[in-house]
Amino acid sequence: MRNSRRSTTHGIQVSIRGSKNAQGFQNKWVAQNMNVNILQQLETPYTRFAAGWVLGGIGLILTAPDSRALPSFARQFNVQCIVCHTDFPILTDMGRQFKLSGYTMSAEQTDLPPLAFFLQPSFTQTQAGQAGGAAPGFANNNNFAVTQFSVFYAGRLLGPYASKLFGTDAASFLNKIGIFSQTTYDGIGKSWSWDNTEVRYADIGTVSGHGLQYGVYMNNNPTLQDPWNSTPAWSFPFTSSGLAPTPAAGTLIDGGLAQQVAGIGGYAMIDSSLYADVGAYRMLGSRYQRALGIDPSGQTQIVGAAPYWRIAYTKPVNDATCEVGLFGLAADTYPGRVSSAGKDNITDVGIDSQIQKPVGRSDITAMVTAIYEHDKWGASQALGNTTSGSDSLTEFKGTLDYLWDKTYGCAAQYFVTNGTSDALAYPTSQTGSPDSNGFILQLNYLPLNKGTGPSFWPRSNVKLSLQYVIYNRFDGSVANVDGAGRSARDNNTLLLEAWIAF
Amino acid sequence: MLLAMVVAASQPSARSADDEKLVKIVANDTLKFSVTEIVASPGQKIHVQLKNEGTMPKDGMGHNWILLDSEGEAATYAMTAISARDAAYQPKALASHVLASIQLLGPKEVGDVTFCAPTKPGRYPYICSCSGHSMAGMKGVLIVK
Ligand SMILES: [Cu+2]
Repeated sequence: MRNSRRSTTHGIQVSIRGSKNAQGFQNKWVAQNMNVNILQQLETPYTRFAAGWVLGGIGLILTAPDSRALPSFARQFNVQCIVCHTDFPILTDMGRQFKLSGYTMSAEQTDLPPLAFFLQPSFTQTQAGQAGGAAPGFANNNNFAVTQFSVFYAGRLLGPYASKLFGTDAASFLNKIGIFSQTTYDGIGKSWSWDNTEVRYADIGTVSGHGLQYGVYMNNNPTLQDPWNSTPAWSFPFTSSGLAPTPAAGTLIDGGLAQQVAGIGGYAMIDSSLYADVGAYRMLGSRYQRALGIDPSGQTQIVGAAPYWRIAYTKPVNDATCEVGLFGLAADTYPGRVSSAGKDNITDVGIDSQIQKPVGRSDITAMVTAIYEHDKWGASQALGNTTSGSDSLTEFKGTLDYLWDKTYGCAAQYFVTNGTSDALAYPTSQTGSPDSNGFILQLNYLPLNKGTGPSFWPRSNVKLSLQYVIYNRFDGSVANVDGAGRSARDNNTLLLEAWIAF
Repeated sequence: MLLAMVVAASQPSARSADDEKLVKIVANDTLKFSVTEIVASPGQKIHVQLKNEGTMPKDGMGHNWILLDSEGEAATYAMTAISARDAAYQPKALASHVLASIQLLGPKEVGDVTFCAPTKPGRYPYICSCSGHSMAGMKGVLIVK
């Protein structure tokens, strides 16, 4: 459930924070493999290559001069955030176009490099405190923290410099290559790591009279490339506390591979209505992951390549934009990176829909996502990590996001995770059940959204939010979640956060 | 503008001046038109006034008003306009699809256009073609019936 929260702006926190708070997406995988040692991983030529570009990209980030937020996108395109976002990071039609263009659309009005920053200070209160501290170095309850600080290099790969460096002919090609890269400091785990990262080449064309937008991408989180906010990587709630308990179970595609993989693929949007994307993801070698700030311990390791696919249809209906789609991933895996007992097989299939509609001074976005996962525990059962030979898990999220006058917003989500009970697969559950459900309610205030930031740095933005997560059921239980009388509602979480983009 | 006048001149003008429909549209920094639906009868004379009440720079947050001949063309026009900054976001190659237009207005500027509604009943979209504004919601429709 929490997976998407992590996989968006917190993508990496779970893996770096370790077991205390590893009740997030990894837990299902971490938990069932705690009893095995981490074996030395084979480093394939592919992962070497993948890690190579990744490290190269990081190098680029660190050596580039200074600058923008997706403010970097705003500068490059010379527009306000609201052209591409409603309640950021939700994309508008324009934002989706910008993404399909590989982050390369430009008004060519800036000489600044495409740098940007996020700072997210926060306050977390859970209904009942957590004995022993919410995380190492934090109190049981009522904690202030920097949820995260992120540095982005995002926009045209060579920023505004392609023609100056290589001439206009080469620049016409080079300016079709774009990058979205995020490097994040986790203020709770107190460490840096890479976050959502992607490089794309994108172009437009015509095939037998049909308009075509197409591209190829390389990224580190399945669905990161998707233009809608109803697929996991960019789905609500976008940000969540790292200092609160989160349910253990989650599907693999919903953040379970974020920042641990490198994938390549291609996509096409035909006549602005039919979208298709096919890719494949491979695990990054553990040494490279460590170099990038990711702890590979206990990961569900993809064997070979895991195919990813996505198809969606979108259509304007009066002034609303409607989308409905399917997506999925299938992976042979080694549980906990242990290859001695054969392979598991995990298949995820998701269905999603998004409707976005401006109504007067309001912007409304409705998003629905359902993911079904089927697990065949060929290896996990043999290792004693699961009782069954197969399990299944279903996640559902329905979200309504409302923004008035680009400034005042609210959002509500109902989430539910249900699956087959398996005492060994979900050892943190008193009932062996992965079932959790509840609501997320959020109030937002975006004081700068319809204007600009300060005159010395106009392309900046702020979102002040009050988020409340309500659990009706948590890890299979309503009343006794931890065997010591803690109820699901004791995990209810209040998060006050400022999301500052500059 | 020129085209709009040509269109206006070429339409039947059987109606009296009393039939002229005045439509005042306000745009500001929130990427919305205050009027998103105009209903007119075939051939009716329409006077559209657009006022930009925003405060942000014309470069990037200026607004125009472009009436197009079909909903299919609106998306194409908006996409093409993004790279037609030098032509004030009115790509010349697609001018034949424009039924009427008001030029790009900076903060506090006002523009207007008078034209006759198409004689064929239907839905005719209008957009602001500046920097993808229509794809962020700055659009509306003229319904002729
Ligand atoms: Cu506009």
